[in-house]
Amino acid sequence: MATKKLLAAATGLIVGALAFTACTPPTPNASSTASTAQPTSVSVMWNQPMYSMNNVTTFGNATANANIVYLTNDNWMYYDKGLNMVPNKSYGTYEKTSDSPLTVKMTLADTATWSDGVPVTAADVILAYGAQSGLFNTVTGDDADGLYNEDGTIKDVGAGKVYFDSSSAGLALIKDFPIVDGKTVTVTYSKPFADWEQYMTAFGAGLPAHIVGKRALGEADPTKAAEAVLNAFKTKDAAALSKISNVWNQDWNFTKMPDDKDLVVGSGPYTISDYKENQYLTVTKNANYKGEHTASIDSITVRYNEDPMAAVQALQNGEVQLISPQATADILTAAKAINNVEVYTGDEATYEHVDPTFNNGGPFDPKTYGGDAEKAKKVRQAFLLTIPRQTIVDNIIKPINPNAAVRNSFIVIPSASNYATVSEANGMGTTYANVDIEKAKSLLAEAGAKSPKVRILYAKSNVRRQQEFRLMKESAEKAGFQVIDNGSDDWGAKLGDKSYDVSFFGWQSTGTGVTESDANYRTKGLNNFSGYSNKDVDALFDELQTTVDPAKQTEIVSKIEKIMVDDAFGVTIFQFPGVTAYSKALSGIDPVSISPTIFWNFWQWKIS
Amino acid sequence: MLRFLLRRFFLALGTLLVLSVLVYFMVDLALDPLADLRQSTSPNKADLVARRVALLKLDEPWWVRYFDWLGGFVRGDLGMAWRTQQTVASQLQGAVTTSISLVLSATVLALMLGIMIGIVSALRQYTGFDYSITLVSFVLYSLPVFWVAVLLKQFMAIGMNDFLDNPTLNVPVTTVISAVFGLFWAGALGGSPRRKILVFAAATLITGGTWAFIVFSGWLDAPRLGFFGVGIIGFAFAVIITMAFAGLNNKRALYSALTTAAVGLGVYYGLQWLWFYVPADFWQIVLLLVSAIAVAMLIGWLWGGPDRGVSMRGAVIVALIIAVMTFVDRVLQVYPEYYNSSMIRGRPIATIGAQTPNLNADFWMANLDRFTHLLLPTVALVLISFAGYTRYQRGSMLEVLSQEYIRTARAKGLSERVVIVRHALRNALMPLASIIPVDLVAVIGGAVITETIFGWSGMGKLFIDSMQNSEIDPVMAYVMITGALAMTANLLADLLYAVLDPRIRVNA
Repeated sequence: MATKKLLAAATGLIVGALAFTACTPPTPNASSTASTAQPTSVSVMWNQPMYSMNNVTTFGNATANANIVYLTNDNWMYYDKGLNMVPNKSYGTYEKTSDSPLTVKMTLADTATWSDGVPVTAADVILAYGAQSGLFNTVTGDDADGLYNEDGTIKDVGAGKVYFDSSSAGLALIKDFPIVDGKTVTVTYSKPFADWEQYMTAFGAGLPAHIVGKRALGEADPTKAAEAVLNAFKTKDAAALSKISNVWNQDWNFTKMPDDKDLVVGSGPYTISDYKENQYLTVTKNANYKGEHTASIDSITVRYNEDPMAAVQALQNGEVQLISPQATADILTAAKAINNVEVYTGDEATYEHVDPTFNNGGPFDPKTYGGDAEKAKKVRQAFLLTIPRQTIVDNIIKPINPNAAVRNSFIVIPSASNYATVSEANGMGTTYANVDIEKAKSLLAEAGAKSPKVRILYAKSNVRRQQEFRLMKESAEKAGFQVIDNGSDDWGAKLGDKSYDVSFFGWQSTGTGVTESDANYRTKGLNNFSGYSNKDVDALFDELQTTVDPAKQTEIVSKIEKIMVDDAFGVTIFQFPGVTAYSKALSGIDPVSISPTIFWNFWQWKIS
Repeated sequence: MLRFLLRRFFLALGTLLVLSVLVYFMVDLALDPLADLRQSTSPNKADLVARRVALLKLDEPWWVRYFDWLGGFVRGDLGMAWRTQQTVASQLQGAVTTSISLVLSATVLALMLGIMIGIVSALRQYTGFDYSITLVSFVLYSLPVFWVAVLLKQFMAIGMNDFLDNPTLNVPVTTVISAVFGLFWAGALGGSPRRKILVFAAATLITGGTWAFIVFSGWLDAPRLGFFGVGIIGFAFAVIITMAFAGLNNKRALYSALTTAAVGLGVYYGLQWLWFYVPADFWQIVLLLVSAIAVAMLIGWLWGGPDRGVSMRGAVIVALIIAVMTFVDRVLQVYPEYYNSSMIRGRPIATIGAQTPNLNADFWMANLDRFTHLLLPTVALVLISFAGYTRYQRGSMLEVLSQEYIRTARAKGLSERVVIVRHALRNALMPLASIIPVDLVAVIGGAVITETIFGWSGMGKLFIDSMQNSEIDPVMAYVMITGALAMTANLLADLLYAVLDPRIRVNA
């Protein structure tokens, strides 16, 4: 009974105390509403998280990394909307001082500064060159036992062994060590190289030499550290280069905010300020940035989600202001239905192409006609004439990109400035302008091929490819071809194995360089899966490799393409369509087809 | 017992080994690590291909790679996601935490809801209420999660945020929803037709009235429970809990519950001062919760009398409820600040991610932010998984109620409450012991689609991403972990069952 009374009393006391307390408990906030100018920010949705800030290693080479590197680092030049190369004078200037031997002189500007205040120096250029050229490696890439741990990580190569995990065909041509004079670096190519200007970005896509030096060689003073790196390359000091290569290969690979802030030092308008694994990455204005690309928005956050519908709904809910999801007609409809959102549709970097096989004993192989190349060519032409290119574009691509047009060039991207010239000169547009069943029939009759069987290889589970296949099949059968569905989920592995007569799939362009297509069309080229071989094309490609003048390049490319169209090598169909949607509060968005797509002009973005 | 455990252990090891061989073989067959390079037009493609072949030992047969992997695995090296050069161990760390925080609350909520509704449904067998619940649970059970997720985002996030921007009362919708609540309570409480009509009318009016009050009073601009809200909820639950578990005739239980509510309310008042001066953190909250439970037990023990356990249990439940309410109230106090933050821009309910980037948040706002992000995925998961528990619990409750001893209990004049709570409920919960461990382990396995759509990078997403990236090591780690846990869970369920049910013996 006593305890009961006690408890009752205690309760009464507490309740009484509360009742008689005149004051109310304090409440939080009140401070935040009186705000100073809030920093501006914009959120962008991207499908894959960044995983390496060194995007020139073989495994770090991905768009997800390239975007962030682009936001946080300046470079010698960038591509504009028309895919023209625009030098960034606030980073440095470069000029070709001689054609023979090809010599390029680059001078760093005084405004080029790393975000920790250290100026960009020749050592940074040399580090980029030395690491990517592969000329300093003492171990080769396919030497597996020497390089990789059992779990697949790159090993610390042993003392004295040098291995930079990168390879650049262009920089490998600079066999003589560059001449360094203060902020000027002069490089000499051992033979003329057509895409030297495209490869200028390679000299800027680098890690800060002073931080590499600090981490690899233990030199804390930035000037001395950078110099030590430069000297290591100059003297081919294997012991030092070995340590440098280990740091260069491994240290910049991170998937969350690194503890060591040295790793986020960059030379660009923004610096990484926060990175939550698999969630988002934020870049904030770099206070030490002195270049031309000063941004107007204080911070850009890239949020990661790969689901296209989630991107659209996040845009609608105001969580992100800019999205570029995988394009389908449904996504486009959903994005267009949102108020206050601007939708942009355009080309992506991948293009679809149809290639008959020349060397499998099938209907397009001269062997089938007793070695009569002319007959085989007529059958190829007949087949290509049946491909309903315009219908495919109208039915499959235009619902997503209303401005889509048939692509008429094997080598040049439609948004590039020399596309018109090349596509006119090669004759693809006129030869295969319309489906011509009658002409196809007569060509087949001339070749004496009676209802040839055509096995078509494509990505079987891909809806877009299925639709294309149906349209092609229907049309080709009208002309008398027997079309066999050879579609496979394993199509990538089947390329070049001669088990099909026609394949269609996408090639992805990574830049405007002309040497890129070399392997696709050269005799026994690595990507020449159809067994095409033409000595004139090979010779022209040899010439193209060493032609530095852009006008001359266009001329050679036109010649190559003309021969290929005359040979009935194949046709290209369309550029993959892309959808970009952004809040109307955001302005200045103008995506290009190649990397860094939506980000290329981030310094022109404005938010209201 | 030991022999039993040992046998199970070795069986599990063997199963895992076979599992690893089979899965490795099949995954290896399915993945094409060179897929992305095949479409590349890069000038150094040959070199890239050669490097990747060397890196992944693609020139060797699959079983060589398998033994490489197994060798690493038994030594505790889970391997490497080669595309991003991350160790699998570090990937798992983040993924497991995310999965647990995402799926655990949803599973617990679904369990509680499912069990409660299942029991009520069984007690009201073959009534309109029972049929409605059956219908609804089957509909929910068959809903595809990706579709539910998209709808939830459209209505509960985008629509809700639009509504919060300009709250108005939509009369037809409010009327219909209030009527549905009325029907639910009328059906759940049952009784004579007159009572049902009364309950229906009361529940409808209360629901509609509360909603109208919420909209018109501006409560949504600065929502909180306040002293009176916490007080009303606390005392109401003190009465309800006592009613359900002890009966209102048990004065000691009632008084201990009410005392706990009163003390809790006082503590609520004091905590406002504490948190004003001392910033809260996770461990402080845990400490507070533990002391709340201890005090409640003390109160129950002091009031106790001969049946101390009942009083203590009731007091603890009341204390927990008040603690949660106090926490929620404090979190809600930062809502206006959160709502107006430049990162939220007046749209508090999120559709993606686990947190708002760059939100300069203190402990309370971080919790609010976590809650606004957890809301949609949790609702989606609960909607889909609670249906199963409802059916399960309804079945087991009905089975128990039809047994002889229940009839005996009724025959000897025990009150219906005692028959159900003391005699039927405990036995009806037993079959759940065999599914709860298994379900909790599934939590770690993650929820693939939910994670992808809501942007939570848990185990499910790790698995799918690794498959898409042709990274075999994380896939194997996932398979091994979920496989091992599934076996552990089954073993645990067997043991638990043996402990709970004396008729079952664990023997080799």
